Amino acid sequence: MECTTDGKRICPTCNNEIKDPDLMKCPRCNSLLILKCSECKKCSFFKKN
Amino acid sequence: MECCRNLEQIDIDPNKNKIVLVGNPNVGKSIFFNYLTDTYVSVSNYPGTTLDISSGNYKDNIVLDTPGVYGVSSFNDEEKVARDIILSADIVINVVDAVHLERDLFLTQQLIDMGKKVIVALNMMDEAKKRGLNIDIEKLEKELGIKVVPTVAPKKKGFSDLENHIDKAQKGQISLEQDMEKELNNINKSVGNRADSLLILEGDENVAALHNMEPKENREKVYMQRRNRVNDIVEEIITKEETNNSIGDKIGSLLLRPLTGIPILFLILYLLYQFIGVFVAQTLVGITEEMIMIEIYQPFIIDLVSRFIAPQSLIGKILIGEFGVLTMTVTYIFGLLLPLVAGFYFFLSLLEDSGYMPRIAALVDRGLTYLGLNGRAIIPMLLGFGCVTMATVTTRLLGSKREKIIAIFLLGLAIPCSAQLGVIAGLIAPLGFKYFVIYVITIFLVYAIAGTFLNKVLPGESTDLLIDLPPVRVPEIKNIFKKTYLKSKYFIVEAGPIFAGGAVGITLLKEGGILEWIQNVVAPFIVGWLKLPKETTEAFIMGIIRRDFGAAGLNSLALTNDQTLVALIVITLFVPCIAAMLVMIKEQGIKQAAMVWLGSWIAAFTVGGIVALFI
Repeated sequence: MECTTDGKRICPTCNNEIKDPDLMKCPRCNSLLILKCSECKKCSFFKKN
Repeated sequence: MECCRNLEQIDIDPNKNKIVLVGNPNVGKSIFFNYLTDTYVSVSNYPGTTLDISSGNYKDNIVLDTPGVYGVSSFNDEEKVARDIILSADIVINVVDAVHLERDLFLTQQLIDMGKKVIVALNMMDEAKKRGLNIDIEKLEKELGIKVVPTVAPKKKGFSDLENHIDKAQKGQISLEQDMEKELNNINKSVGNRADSLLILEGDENVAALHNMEPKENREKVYMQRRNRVNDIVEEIITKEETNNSIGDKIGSLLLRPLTGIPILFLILYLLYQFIGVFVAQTLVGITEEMIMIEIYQPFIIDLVSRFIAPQSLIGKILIGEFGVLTMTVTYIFGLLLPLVAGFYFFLSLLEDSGYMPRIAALVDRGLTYLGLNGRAIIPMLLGFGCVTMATVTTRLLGSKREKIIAIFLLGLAIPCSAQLGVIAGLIAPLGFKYFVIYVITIFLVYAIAGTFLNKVLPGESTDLLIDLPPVRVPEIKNIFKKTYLKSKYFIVEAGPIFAGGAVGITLLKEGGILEWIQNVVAPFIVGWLKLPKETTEAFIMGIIRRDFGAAGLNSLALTNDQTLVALIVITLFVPCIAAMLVMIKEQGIKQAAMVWLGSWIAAFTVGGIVALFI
């Protein structure tokens, strides 16, 4: 299965898409952000960008 | 354009003022709604229970409740519904969790930035105080530019003060910096509505489309400006005192630590078994099914119907025959299943409202990662023991599509619903401990193997668990009974017609000779492979309609201990009921629903046969 997330980082709490790779908290819901996207084992948001 | 995207679905008097309750998930909005409208809405400790729109009258106004959201936007269906109601609001009552001000004030500030008249109900002030948080209300009011009323919802504290100030809701201090405010004003020149303009500025495609515009790409910039403003406000208004941990905190901590949490979890599960499997399934059902339905109700209804319709006619058999709608169906639903379902929901509501559910999620997180899930999946799994249909809907809580696929498959395969569980507990308890252990281990192994298999074959891995832990609290007994009542009522309304239809179908199959034909065709398999009497086929056919219906059908068969065990394993792993299948099709599409259905057939009969070989 190909990764379809385009390296996007989505906040797991409120689904807000985060573009700034340096953000560690979601600006919308203030949740801590995970470092990799949820769908694919290999593609890290940071690697893609 | 001011209003009404989804609102036409609700019967609202357009001449009345709309007061809209808005807040993050799990802040207690429903209690405010109940207070203002005197109408009950389910209140739970885990996020996402207020999924429907509720409306009611308050003086000359309409009050609308909204699903819990973190902001006004269109990231999912709940947010779209909330957004449309908020856009139509004349006054917004923003319920804010005083313990999570950094999180909740983002929404408050967004509502203010939209130009809405807002009043804040600063809820859970008691929890904030317990945690040593001192909130300067006057300073908060000054920073936001709106009225803030401290409240404690379960005790209705501050409610009358809030009522006195609803009419005084006002527009507050905007958080946007000059560049974004200028951009917003430019949009507003063609839109003519600040709230809609702000959402277009934040890139909301739906609102932009309503105005035939392209959404702007300023979401991140606006969100960061708002976040910075909120962080500044919070820093200004909160001071923290050192506090001794409360009893609730201490219990919460014990529930989370594996060394104490796991034994407590097993103790809770044991109590659940004692309550449902022993007390309800044997003692209570003994009274409702045997004494009331079989000894009193059935002779009465058979006698009554026989006066007008010949019992041996087709109509007579459909109504009061072996699988009669007025005999077997009514007995199963009210005498057998309803006490079990109500008992289970009572217990589940206690766990929900005490704040224990998210703690179970944290506790089992590591174990569930082996199945490609995370701890959050325990919520649909536990709800599945109540109703698989309802639990399938709550898989929306899960972080990825992959997790939803795994959770829905496991729910469909190996999680018996409360009605089925009750019948199973009632049938297996008299067999003794050995059979109980074999049954539990078999189902657990199937669950674990299926999850591990899916985790291996589906690309990706489980997401991290990030979940809010609400405070541990003593549940309100009134709320527990109301939730139990509402969910049990839902069960009767949902299951009743399907049961009746299934009973008519079985009677027609039997009278047409088709049931016997099916029994003879599958007899070599049922008798040869599963080592069960061929009459068990009737229960399995009933199980296609609803698994609990099938399990209940086993009640009336004369089976040996070994046969009972095999039949119960097969019926537990059997295909999901019709209602659950419909929800699966809606959530995952017909292809995946069909795979779950076929997979359940294969798993049920393969495992049942293997167990029959070895016992």
